[in-house]
Amino acid sequence: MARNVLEVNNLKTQFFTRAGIVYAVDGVSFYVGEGETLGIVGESGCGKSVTATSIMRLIPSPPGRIVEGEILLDDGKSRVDVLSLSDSEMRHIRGNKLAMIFQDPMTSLNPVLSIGDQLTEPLILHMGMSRREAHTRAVELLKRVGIPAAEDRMTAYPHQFSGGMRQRVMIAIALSCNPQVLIADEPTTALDVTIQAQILDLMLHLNQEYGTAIILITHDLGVVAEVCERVNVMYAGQIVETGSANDLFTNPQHPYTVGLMNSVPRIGIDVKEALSPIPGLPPDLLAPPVGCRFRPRCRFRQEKCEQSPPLGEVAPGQWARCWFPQGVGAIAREAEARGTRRAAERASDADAVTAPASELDAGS
Amino acid sequence: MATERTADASTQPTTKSGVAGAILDVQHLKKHFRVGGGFLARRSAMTIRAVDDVSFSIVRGETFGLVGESGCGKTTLGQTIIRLYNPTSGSINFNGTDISSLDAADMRKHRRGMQMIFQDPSASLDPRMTVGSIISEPLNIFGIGSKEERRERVRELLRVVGLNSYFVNRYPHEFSGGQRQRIGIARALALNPELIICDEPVSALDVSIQAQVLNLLRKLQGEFNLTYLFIAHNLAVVAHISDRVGVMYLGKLVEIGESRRITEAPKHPYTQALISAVPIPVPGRQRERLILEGDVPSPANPPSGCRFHPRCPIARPDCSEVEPALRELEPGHWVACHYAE
Repeated sequence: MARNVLEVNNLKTQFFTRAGIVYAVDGVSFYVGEGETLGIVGESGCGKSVTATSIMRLIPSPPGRIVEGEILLDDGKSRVDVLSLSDSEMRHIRGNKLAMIFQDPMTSLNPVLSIGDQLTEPLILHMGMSRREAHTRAVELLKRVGIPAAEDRMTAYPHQFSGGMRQRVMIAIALSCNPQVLIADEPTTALDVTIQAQILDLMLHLNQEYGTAIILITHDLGVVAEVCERVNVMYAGQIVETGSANDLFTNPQHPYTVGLMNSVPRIGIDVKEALSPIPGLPPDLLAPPVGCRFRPRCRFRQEKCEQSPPLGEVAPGQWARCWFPQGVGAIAREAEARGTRRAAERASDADAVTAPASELDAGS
Repeated sequence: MATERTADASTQPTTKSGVAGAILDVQHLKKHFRVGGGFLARRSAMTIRAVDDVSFSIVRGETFGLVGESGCGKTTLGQTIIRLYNPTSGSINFNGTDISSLDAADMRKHRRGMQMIFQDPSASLDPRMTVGSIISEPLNIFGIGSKEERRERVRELLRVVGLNSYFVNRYPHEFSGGQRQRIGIARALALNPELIICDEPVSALDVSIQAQVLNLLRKLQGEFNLTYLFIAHNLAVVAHISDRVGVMYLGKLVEIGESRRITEAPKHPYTQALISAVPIPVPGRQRERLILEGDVPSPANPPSGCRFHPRCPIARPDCSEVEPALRELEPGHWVACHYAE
């Protein structure tokens, strides 16, 4: 088995606000193997971006603070805990061994510096290149990410690029120092699908060619399925299910994962079939539910769910934080049950948001 | 020739009851914006052809989906139909009346029959108004009912969209995104409209909430016999909710057809690329992916001939010269491409 380039153990990141403590990331552990692509999926507020920014040590403080855990980065020679590093040591790692690209390339590129300036900066800082060397390398990088007329574009400014092109520039900057891990936080969410396809294709290509491990954070299950080998599903600050993408998509075990899969309209699958949404809303992380955090929205909840379930192995290589994993064939059963539930839903006016409990009763 | 063909598109046979039942019939609609120019301008004025000669019709009770990438003109088209913009030319027949050149007072009467749901529910709800006053505002404007009747109607509307009726005195910020979108839907329903233009109604929502709102829209359609013009960039969502789908590219409709035909057997090379670009949540299913090169050109200076030709995998020399009109490849399936088969 390949070496784990990044290992996160029991990470807890909290935000200390006037309203109280927000438990944004609450005991998250996972690893990324060398050259692996790991997906982190979940809905807004589930803690996926906070996990990423914690790894980069970019949590705004105050109000945020990493209160517990370790983030081990292994470059093959030594293992360091990112959280124990001083700020200046961290600056040496950030953008060098750990790189990150963000959702909106316009806000992460500096509008008053040329693309060339922004590309050469990390090369000069981290790789100790001369200006001339850095320039040559930057042009190469731009070509590598598919920017036409790279030499001429070096003097251009971000606003002169389209959204897709800006994201390519961001990827070029992120890859400039051959990082071990590239964290991509919703890299294609702001882009159109045809441009998204280009960018995902590029990222996969670079992953295969240079062996850069990728952590892809997204809410789009389709993107995860296409890019990632392994997937973490996050809900309310915790990982609720983890496993290979294949297992997770064919046999999801956690009711939340099953619910997510059934919420997505799919092309080519009976288009007139009503979706089966997850009732209710994600919990408030100021006061997460006691016990299983998905319990208030879960159709299969029982008394035992008032105790927190551990992340247990439910099948070889697949873990779920649930006392009653769904077992093989959950999606199919769900689809079968949908017909009857639809009838019940039509009868009852309740549409889940205000009265999850009545919806549940109607559904069963 | 080209105009004749486009004229044919107006009499498009539809899956339901033909044009006779059309609630909305849009013909050769154009919306151009002039930008720049002016006294101190360094650059001369440009014309953005946001919507450029679009014709289609929607049958009563159906959902017509409009899909395309950002900048293709789908939102402008929706807003021109409801006359938030004045069309540059063309006609918009709503219930048999051409509303494209009505003045504000006449338009107001017709707007009662068509309402709009916007993308960002936090931006389209006034933060200083209570939910009750937001939903009853259209009723006040049209002077419908007594105060007590209006209050009762608001409570009823809240229940219809799946919200608790004791929310009337709360403010928009107290609600989640999905709930706010429900408030927007309740406001749109207040006047019992026949046509609702939904402009990206779920794209700001998380998937589990998105599914709730899509199911709600469908439920309401059955209950109130609504007709939807459903505008979105997410092809899977559009195909899911729509009976028929129109695909837009750079201000033009390039393909119209039944939703199932569009997703299963797209004819226009742009639609084909668009569909193949949608990631499918089935791992390992490596599809023959058609990746388009380059970006969408500027609508200020669209390519000559077929607007898609610079990115088209099957373009031939004459595509840059002759603009293709919509032609009916199979019953009810219209494609604006010279070489689609």
